[in-house]
Amino acid sequence: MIKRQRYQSDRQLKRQANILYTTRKLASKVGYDGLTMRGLAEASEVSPKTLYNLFSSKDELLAAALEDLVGIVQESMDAYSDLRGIDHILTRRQISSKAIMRSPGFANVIITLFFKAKPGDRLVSALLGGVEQEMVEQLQFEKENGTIAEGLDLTKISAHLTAQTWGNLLLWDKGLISLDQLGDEIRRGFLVTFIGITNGKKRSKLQQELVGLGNPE
Amino acid sequence: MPNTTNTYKSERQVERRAKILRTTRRLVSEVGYDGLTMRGLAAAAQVSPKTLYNLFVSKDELLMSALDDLMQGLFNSIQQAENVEGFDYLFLRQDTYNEEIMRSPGYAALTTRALFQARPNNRLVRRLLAAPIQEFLTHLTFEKKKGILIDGLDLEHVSRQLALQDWCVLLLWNKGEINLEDIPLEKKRALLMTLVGITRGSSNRRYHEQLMSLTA
Repeated sequence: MIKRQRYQSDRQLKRQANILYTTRKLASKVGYDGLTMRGLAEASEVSPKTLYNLFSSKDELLAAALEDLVGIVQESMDAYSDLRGIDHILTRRQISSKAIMRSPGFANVIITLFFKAKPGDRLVSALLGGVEQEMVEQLQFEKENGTIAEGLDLTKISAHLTAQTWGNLLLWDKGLISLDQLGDEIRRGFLVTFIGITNGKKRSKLQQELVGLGNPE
Repeated sequence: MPNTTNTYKSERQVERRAKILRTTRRLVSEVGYDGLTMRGLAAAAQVSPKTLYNLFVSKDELLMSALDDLMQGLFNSIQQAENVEGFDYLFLRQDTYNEEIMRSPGYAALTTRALFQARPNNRLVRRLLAAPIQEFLTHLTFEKKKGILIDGLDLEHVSRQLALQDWCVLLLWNKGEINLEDIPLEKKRALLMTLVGITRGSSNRRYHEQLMSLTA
């Protein structure tokens, strides 16, 4: 999903989408160090000059490719527009996990870049800032329904879940869990947190799901 | 955790070694990994470069020993508290580590960066992530036997979540999202959130109250 800028033609929009898609594909193949603006220009069939006009650096381009992917995930949530609250958060998380598991190479590049990033970098705000607000709104919905205990700071809970997701990516990046485990691992973490803050039927339902995810003991 | 002190060493040798390792942690916090040299270290720790090389074959070896030394010290100090098991142990461990982070934030920041950039399954990853996961598993199993955990939990999963939480808080600090002073509170919040999610009955109510009092 690319925001159309003023005076941008369809052709230009399509070209940009193609560049971002190619960036993700190439990054998966060659890794961060193997990625060059020249190689990217060639792979997406534009001149290096055009590429530099659109994106000032490799890191800038990678951040844009990520934002584009986040937008695609966001768009596919349109199919679940009737889902609200915790169900919405869990479904969105699942779609994001699937996106990571489908392109682990690109995810790996982004994780490496993120761990290296300095405070205030574009990537840091893209990865830590945006998602949380939506989560807070969905939790707010649950609260109005009376399924979440009073007095909890929903912003802190959302921040906790985002951090938890990064923690699991860290475990994967460091070889402590496999790519196959990643999606379930993140989901389990979300379920445990939600079980802790919900009550009544919702809580029992979430706990059933946790049991259903399988228990190797 | 293995004891890193050799059996046949004189007291003076043990002390010298401890001083070198302390100096290493202080110096690397100041000058960074790249700025650290064996020569500079020898001067700062007041030993000859030859002595230093006799004790530690390389800079990396020395840095790893310095980290082990610190972890061992923290571990010992937690063990001194008698009969602390299960979740009480987790809280005590968190407090002990927090004190150390506040004491030497530069070293904590450096270690955090090193872990995030470490190669999969290397020594740093094993020490800072894999070992705590095993440590937590023991204490979770203890609580499970007391019957205060909800059904359907995969204890290994919970151990992993507990181990990664502390690093997540440090990651947020590292990225400028929270301040140094916030670290203890945020770590405690993360721990309580997980405990509220995995416990039942009166323990659950207790942790719930504690979590609420943090938020207020």
